[in-house]
Amino acid sequence: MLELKNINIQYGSKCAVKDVSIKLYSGDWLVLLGANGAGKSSIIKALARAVKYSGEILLEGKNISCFSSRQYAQRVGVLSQLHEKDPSLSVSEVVRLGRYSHGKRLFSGLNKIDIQKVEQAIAVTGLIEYSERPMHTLSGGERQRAYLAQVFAQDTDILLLDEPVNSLDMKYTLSLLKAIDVWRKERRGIVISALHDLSLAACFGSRALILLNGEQLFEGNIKDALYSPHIDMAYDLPVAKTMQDVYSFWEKA
Amino acid sequence: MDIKEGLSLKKHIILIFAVLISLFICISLGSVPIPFKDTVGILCDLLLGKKPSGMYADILIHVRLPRVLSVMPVGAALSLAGAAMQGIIRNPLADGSTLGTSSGAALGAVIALSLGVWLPLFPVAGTVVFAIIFSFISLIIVMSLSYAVDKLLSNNTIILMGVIFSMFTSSFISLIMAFSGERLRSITFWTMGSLAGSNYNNVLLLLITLIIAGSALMLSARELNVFSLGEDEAMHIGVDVKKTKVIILVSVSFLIGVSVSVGGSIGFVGLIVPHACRLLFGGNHFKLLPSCVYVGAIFLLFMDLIARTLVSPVELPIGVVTSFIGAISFVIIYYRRRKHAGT
Repeated sequence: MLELKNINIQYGSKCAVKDVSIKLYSGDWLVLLGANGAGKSSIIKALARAVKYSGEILLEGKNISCFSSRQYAQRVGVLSQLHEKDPSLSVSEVVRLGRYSHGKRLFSGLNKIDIQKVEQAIAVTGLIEYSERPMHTLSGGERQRAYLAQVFAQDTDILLLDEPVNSLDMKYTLSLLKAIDVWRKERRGIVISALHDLSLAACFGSRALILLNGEQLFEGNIKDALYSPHIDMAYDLPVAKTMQDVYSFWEKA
Repeated sequence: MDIKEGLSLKKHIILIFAVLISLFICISLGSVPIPFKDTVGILCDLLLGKKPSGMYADILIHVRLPRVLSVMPVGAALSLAGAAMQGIIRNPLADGSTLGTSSGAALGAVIALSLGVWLPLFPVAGTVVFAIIFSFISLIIVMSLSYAVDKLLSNNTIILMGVIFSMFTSSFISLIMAFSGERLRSITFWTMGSLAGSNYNNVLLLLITLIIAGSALMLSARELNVFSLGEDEAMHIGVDVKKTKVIILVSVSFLIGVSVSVGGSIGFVGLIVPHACRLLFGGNHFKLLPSCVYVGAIFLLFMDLIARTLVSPVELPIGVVTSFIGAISFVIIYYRRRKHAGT
């Protein structure tokens, strides 16, 4: 279980997130909704321990600041936007880095479990034929799948997605999110995502948190969120009506 | 799936063999060439504990061997430091000379010389300690200034800061030299940068530094690989970012500080060698770092050979030779990257 209690995030004098509280359980996919600058990314960053915040974030009943870097990385994985610079490593080398937090082996030593997890992650993301290719020879969508494989190899219970499908085309977007959805259902993991595309949020999310200028407008079931007047307020557009049409389209698809 | 991350045993053996052959060639050639047969004889005598005699033996034991044995760890240290810096700030143009670390170390050494700082029993210790401290401070200054200007630490920002910092330290060195009075001679001699006067004490100091700081870097190979994904990503994967940075920057400062205090500023080695190794052995630091040790040693051995023999009997400063080749390589690397990035 993951619980955010009265989270406030401040950048200088600007308040990015005000008093956000939510409880998440195994199998939840929380979608953070809101216009640019609403505080979606800030919440993800706080969960990734990349920004300072006030309030409490509890994981397994413990404050997340109590975990060491390695311990935290064994529990929470992050998939960000596609990197601008790519490492001069092969796909399998990148995926193996995901096992970093699981052992302090100095030289080559990955143990049997590590190898199994890495192979599994490469297979699940459909990268077997690419595994020895250097990262820079892959397309954007394939590279992002390699980073997803790395997060899977990290073998966490919680996955944070910071707009990972920006710059990917529809085909790669869907295959990436579907792979994450399969992972969530099998593992009963928690996914927390900031997605710009509301139709994708509707398709994959189970719960939603609507933000306006850092304030929590609504928290609950994704369908209720997308049909609520809060979503219209958050985007200052008649979103709810449009979403009803989109939702019925996706359900048919 | 292949899970071995380091260099294969075969590659280690080939590279060690290449180092030994280079060493053999470089102690035989020089302004007085020693026939290979005599070199073998003298080395065999040394290894068997006999005392070799003759003119060639004197040149070899007292002049060439200490010099060549100093050149090798300096080459290895500078290359390792370059590879580690490039890894930690994800910038293939980072190096002691482009980041102003070497000139910072030089400033430290010059200050120590002008103040006449020395420790009993170990006359060079003052210069060495000052060079290490100043190289560390320089790294911190250049990186924080670059970070303050540009959080992405792009090539242009870092190199611009490095150049500005180098110019600043050079002017400071000139200022100190202007006021150094009777110590001017020793400072001038040192700033010319040469390994000509190397002795076995230098060799020992260099080897100890290389073993300690080099091991610290090798043990951070996995972290350096993770850093190649980006600093935030490294944190998400579970790396203690601050601790890793401190270990790497301190090790780099030791390697550069000691190399500069023994051999003066030898530019661009840390740029060319890691670049070549990345092309030959790939970007995985488990392979890159050990290969930099071997290739760096070989590279500087031959640069030193060129410096000694090109216009023999006059000797060129080794820094002139490496900078000449390094500056050209720098332009090529920069040009290729810009073209690759399409900017």
